[in-house]
Parts: sequence; structure tokens; C-alpha cells
Amino acid sequence: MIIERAKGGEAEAFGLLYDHYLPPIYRFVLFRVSHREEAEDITHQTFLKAWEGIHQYEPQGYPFGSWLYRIARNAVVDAHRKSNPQVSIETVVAHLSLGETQSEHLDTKFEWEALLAAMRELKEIEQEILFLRFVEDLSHGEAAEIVGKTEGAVKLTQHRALKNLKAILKKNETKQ
Amino acid sequence: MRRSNKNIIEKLQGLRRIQPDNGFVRDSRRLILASRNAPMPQPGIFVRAAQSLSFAFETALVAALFLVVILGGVFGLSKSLLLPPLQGIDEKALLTEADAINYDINLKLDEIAYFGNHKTSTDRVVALGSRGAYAGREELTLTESATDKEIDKLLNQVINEY
Repeated sequence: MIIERAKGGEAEAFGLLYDHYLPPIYRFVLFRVSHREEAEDITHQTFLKAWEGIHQYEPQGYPFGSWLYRIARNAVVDAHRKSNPQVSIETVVAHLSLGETQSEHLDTKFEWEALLAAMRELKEIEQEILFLRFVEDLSHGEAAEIVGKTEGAVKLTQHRALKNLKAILKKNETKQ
Repeated sequence: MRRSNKNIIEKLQGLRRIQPDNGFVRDSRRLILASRNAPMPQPGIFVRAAQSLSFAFETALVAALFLVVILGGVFGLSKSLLLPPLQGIDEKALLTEADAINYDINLKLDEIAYFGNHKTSTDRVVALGSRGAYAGREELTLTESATDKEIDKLLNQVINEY
């Protein structure tokens, strides 16, 4: 088993875990900080901490990724404590492949910007749960494990977040 | 434009296209795996088993000592309850015999004290007169002996008559 080998100090095994889990962890961090270099720094720190502490990792019925998400989440909170986050929706949108023609490109870009701007108006916990549930397709249980809440609380927050997001999008469209 | 939950979720799923920069991935991976703070390798199964046994032995030893201390106190307090009675011994008979022995010893001691303190018959009669406890014996002694002088006198008369 790869995790057991990595726990035994085998760098090659941890390298495989890194390759598998890096993209979702990077997405999660970028979504939270909206700044490319900061997202790269936090992602790097997350995997470094995981490698240093992997011998302490004990599976508790959830995938290894849940443990990494928790480390990443704490790292984001620490980074936000040290410096005020400067949210840049363009940074996130720049990572997305947009339409091929200029018209498609602009339409898609505006759509993304509208959605991400509306997301930013939600509470942090609502943003996290929407991201974990619908971007990373995690179960309610895994999302609950990562954010430190019960499954019931996650379901409730998800329902409330979607409702609020729709209301914000409608409000913003009306303004335009 | 009216948005449904499905529409929003589909749009959110599009964020999966976000990928980290290849240069960052390569450098970060190399740095992490080459870091000096590599985790301590886990001890082998035999070492872990030995550690577990050692811990188990220490725990058992402490528990045993604790039990010895606790049970020792309890046993000391309830020894008479825990020990079975000896077979073939009549406790009543033993107690009666012990009482009889005590009574005899007390009697002997009284006699020793009595004869030690009162060397002559007169002394004994006077002493008996002052002890109400032996009233019966006192009368008998007084009847038998009256005074030594009277006895001596009667004896002399008998001797002279024969």
C-alpha cells in the first residue's frame, strides 16, 4: 500500500501521493486565496508538512486526501492571519480555458467572473462546502471531516449556500 | 438569466480545469522529496512487537504489585473470615477447659498469697474474718480451731488422760 510505504519513509511512494493529490489541493488553495504565488507557496507548505508528519497519519475511515485538505485549510488560515488576503477573481479565471473565439472567450469570462464574485459574497464555510462538494465531488462525510462539522451541518450549509448564491447572482444581474 | 441549482453546480464543476503550473509542480516535488526532514522510518514489526511486550510487561508488573498491596490489606482485615475453621475441634469444650484452667490458676494464686502473708493460724483466722468472700470457709475454720491455745489445752488434756 502506497500510504504505508510513504509512512515508512519511502520518498518514491510519497511522490506518487503528491502527483495524485497536488491538483485538487492546489485548486482548493487557489480558490481560497485567489493569488497564484501565494497558492503555490501554501500548497508547497502543505505537502512539506504532510511529508514531515506522515508517520503520524492514521486513517480514520476517510481518504488520505481529507488529511491533506485539513493541512491545507489550516495553512490558508495561518497565511490569512499573517497578511490580509487580496482576492483576485481574475487570477482564478485566468487558470480556466475559455472559449476559442473572442466572443465565446468574453462570454465565458464574464460568466465565471459573475459566479466567482457571487461566491465571494458567501460565508467562508459556505464557499468551502460548495467547492468540496461540487468542484471536488467529495461526499458529505468527507467534506464534514475536512471542515470539522457533522454531516448534517454540511448538508444544511450546502442547501443554504446554494440558495444564497442564487439570490446573490440574481441581485447582481439586476444591478447590471 | 434564471439559474437553477443544476446550472450552478455544472458551472462549479468547470473549476476542475484549474491546474497548477508545470514548473511549480516539478520544483516543489523535487524540493519536498529531497528535504532533510524526511519522516523517521517506522520501526520493524519485531521492534514494535518488543516495544509492545515491554510496555505490557511493565503494566502487568505494576498491576500485580498494586493487587498484592490491596489484597494484603484486605486479607489481613478479614483473615478470620477467609481461613476455614479447623476440623475436629470443639470450640465450646476448649473455652470451658480454658475457663477451668484459669479458675484453678486463680485459686492457686490466692492460696499462695494467703499462705505467704499469714504464717500463723491466728493470722489466717483474722484474715479470713476480714474477707467476706470466703464466709463459709471462715466459719469452718473458726469452729475447727477457735484459738491455738484452746486446741493445745485440749490436746494436753487428752494426752494426760491416757
